Amino acid sequence: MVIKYGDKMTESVSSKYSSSKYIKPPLLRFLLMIFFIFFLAICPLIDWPMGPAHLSWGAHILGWGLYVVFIVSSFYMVYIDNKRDKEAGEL
Amino acid sequence: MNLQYGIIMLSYLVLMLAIGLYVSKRVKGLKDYWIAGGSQGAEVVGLSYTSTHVSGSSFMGAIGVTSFLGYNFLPVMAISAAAPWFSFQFLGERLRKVAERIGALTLPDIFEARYETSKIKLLVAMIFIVGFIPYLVAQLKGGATVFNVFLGVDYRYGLLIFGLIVVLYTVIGGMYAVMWTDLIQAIIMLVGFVILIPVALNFVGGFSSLNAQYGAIDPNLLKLTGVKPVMWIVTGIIFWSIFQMGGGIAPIVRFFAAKDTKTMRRAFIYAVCACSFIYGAYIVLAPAGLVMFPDNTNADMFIPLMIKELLPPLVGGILMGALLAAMMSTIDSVLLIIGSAASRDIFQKFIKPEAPEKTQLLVARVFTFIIGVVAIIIALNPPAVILWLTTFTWSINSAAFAIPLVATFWWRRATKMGAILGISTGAIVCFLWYFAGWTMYNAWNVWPLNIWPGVIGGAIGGLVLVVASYLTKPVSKETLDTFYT
Repeated sequence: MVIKYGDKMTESVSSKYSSSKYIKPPLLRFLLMIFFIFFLAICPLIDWPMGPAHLSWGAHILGWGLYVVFIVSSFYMVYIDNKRDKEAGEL
Repeated sequence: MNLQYGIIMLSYLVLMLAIGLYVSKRVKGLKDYWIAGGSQGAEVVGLSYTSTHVSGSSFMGAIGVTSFLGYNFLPVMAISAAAPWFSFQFLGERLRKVAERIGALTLPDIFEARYETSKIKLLVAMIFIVGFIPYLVAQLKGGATVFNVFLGVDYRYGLLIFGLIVVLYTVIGGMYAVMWTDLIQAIIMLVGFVILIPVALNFVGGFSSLNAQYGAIDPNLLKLTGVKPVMWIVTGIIFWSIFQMGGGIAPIVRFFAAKDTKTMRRAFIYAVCACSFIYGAYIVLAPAGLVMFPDNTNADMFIPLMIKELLPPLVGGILMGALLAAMMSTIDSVLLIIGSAASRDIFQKFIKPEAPEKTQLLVARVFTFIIGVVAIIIALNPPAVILWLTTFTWSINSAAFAIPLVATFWWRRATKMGAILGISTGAIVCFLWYFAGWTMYNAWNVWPLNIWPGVIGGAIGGLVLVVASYLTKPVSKETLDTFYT
């Protein structure tokens, strides 16, 4: 039993996608994301990268570096998703 | 000074109302009202996600908290920029595709379809209504306080002006109005920070000087292991990265409105860049706030004080608009979620399912209006219990929904009983963790073992979901095919 809302729209959409390999689980990506978060979570435990010699710069590297990772990895994720879907003729 | 601020802020509110009313002409039916026709572009989806995610509490309160806790709190603050990373990647594309396939307009619709029971729809809708009203009240209170502090307007009048304008454009324009005003609000927030960062940095003498002065106030402020216990920071990072998906239901609802897959991916880029910039700005502004105003003890006041002291009224007025924008974009989105839970998920589903679409649209507007007015009335004189509830509304939602949402789209074996028990257990454990903190330390913000309640609740709720799912029968193959192929 599939619960649907608005049969007309559902029919057209489901027929469009019914035979496709439409949704793929990028499991590796999720594992990497979770690893990254836990890696960051470990920083306070070992006081890294905040050694006494580079007190303030460590914070900036941590802060700004994080955003660079977010943005660059996001572009990369979108790039590989688009590439994969184009190759499969789904985009 | 007050008059100039007043004119700019009032112009800003009128602009929001005008945008809301203008786009409301596109609302022809329920799909337009709840998900903006499912036809929105990447800029609108990505930036409205951002402005809703960055609420007034994070714009004001979080910067203040970071000021007082120093670099110790920095990873928790920084990781908030990962919100779109997780929300878009875990939920975004899948949620939009499944919603399109089954014609779903709300998250409870999705839960009902995935788990083949209307009981879960009722449970989720009830949690949304009970959980989000205190949050709505707190945001309204914040907006009225800004009027009171900066314009000298009586709190009640400020609340009525601010509250009624947001309620009005939300009621009339639905998701169209919410998303388009959110887009403008996100742009104003970004412009606001672009102005404020160099001004603040210049005032404190640059990065190195900022750090030196910040450390001079208290050397512990420069240490990651400084002020708060390690476990508090570690679980805080986990909470604000992974579990925020459940608490941040309002931003996620935008995914229903995206035009197609390509739009979702571009929206993801917009959201990541905008969130990274805004939370990156906090890294500068938080220490600068304490350096500039070392005698200030009110965490919420650092940003307003910077605006008032550093900027001329015209520019300051724009920044004030950014402050209001942070609150308004959250209020309108939360109001729409509660409205949809009450009208579509409860009234339309359980009370009058055969009502024609025109009637349902009217009911949607009436419910949204009533909820907005009730929230304004409560905010006129909010009881202490409401403000306490606000402190853990977000956590309870996170604990209840983060793991079940991911399971809904990624785990075929998740069952009806697993989801119901997982959601309920997550919420209950989270509340009990707060309660244990209250009993042990007589405070809502100190918790056993220094573990954030949302994390412990979410983890135990997730565990219950997994165990209960393995012990019960999976949903039909037809439903699984709809969600996972």
